[in-house]
Amino acid sequence: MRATLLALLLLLPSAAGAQGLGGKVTDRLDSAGSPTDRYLDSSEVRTVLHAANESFFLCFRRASGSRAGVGDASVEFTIERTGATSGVRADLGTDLPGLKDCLEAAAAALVFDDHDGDPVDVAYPTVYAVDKKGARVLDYPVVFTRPRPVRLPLLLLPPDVTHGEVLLLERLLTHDAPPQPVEPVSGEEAPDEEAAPPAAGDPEPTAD
Amino acid sequence: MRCPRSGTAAVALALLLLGALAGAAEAGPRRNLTYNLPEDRLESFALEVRQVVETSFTRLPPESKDYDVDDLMSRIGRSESKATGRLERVVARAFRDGSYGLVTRVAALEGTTDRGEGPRPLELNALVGKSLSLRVLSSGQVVDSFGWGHLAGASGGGDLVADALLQSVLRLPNTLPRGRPVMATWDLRVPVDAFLQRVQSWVLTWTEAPAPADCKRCTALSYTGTLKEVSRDVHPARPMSLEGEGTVEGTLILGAGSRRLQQHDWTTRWTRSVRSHRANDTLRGELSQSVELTGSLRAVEP
Repeated sequence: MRATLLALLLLLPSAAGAQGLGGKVTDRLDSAGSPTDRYLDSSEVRTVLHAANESFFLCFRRASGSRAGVGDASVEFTIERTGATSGVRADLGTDLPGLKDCLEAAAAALVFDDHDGDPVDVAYPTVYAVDKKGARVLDYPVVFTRPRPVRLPLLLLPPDVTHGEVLLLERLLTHDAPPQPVEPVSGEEAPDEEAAPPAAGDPEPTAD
Repeated sequence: MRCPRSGTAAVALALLLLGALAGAAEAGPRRNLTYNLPEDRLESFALEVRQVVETSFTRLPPESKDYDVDDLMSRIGRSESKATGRLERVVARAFRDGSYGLVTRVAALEGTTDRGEGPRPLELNALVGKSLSLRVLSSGQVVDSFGWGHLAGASGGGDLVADALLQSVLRLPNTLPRGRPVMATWDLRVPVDAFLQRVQSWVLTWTEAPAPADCKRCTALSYTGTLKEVSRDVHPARPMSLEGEGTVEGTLILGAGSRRLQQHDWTTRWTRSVRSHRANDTLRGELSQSVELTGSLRAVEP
């Protein structure tokens, strides 16, 4: 027993050193904060936005004054490669004086990590509640970003291939023939458009 | 404090020795050829690539009758693209297991493409600044990579530089091929995104090459070999697979003493079959591609 313990103590450091890819999550190349993580993902965007909820909170508090209630607002912007935001726009469910400008200023002040990807479009909807204590942003942990579509990655195509050429190839290679039209029952009209599945190149924004 | 009995200590020592022996056996023969990846400086490489691709349908999907496929193939059937630029590389991280986290960035790029109507300039500005993170052993063996999703795929031209990014860390043979060839075999995995991991098998034969006239103490190596790829895209909107075979040849020069990459010239020739599948896994359509990729990287002052 003691021998086993002694052997384990001696062998453990080398085993720990040998811990490689299967090791810690922070060893992943895209682990947030790692110097090898050069692209923003939605969880990193969400972390910055949630950390800035206090500044959004202040906007709601100032704008609501003594009125109580709930409302919603959406802030949209683009994260440039430098990490700065541009094209900030706030959409308000309920217009309160000064709220739009305040939210836009709060979003414009956000600083993300610089990154090597294309500019990232972000939509951040918030739901807020105003009560006697002031205002708060309800837990609504959704951040919409639009990932870069990877289209036909197994085909090597001319670097200047046009959008139309890619669409046609996707039509040929990934879309099944539309179902044969069904004879309309009396009183109904046959659909005139096929229901095509979404293509890889036109993804819906992802929410986290 | 009571000392362990001598018998117990002997057993522990024997276990330790056995462990050490097993570790040594696992590691194989000691490697004497590795890259020197400087942790304190930016490396810069002048890049030149040429890519000739010929594409044809070997099986048209029945759905194609509704489209003008001949017109499409006349436009994308053959292309010859060239690009020159610069790559920059830093060791961003040294891992506990001795591997390195490299960030290789496209610092400059311009090029042309010819689809049968003469060369036309390419718009490649969106690629400048994009990077690839590679976790590599000092041999060049890639153990992980990230960033392909921002480079790969139709449009954007990322495929023009993908080959060069991988060739910047071509896996070296275990030993210097002094007097006799040395073989090396490995698998290269390229995780494009969550749905597609490309897997290539490389079998290279390395031979010693004459050192360049301006660096007699440099290490020059030539190689020839074969490549195979079997990849399957499981993205529901890209149900496609690829099987390919190819050849590769090249020459690589490592700096005298430092063993930093000085120069790498290569040519790969692929014959690929790209198939698209229906939901029930039957064949929908098939394309054949012949691809010739020629490239060179030369170390330059940043």
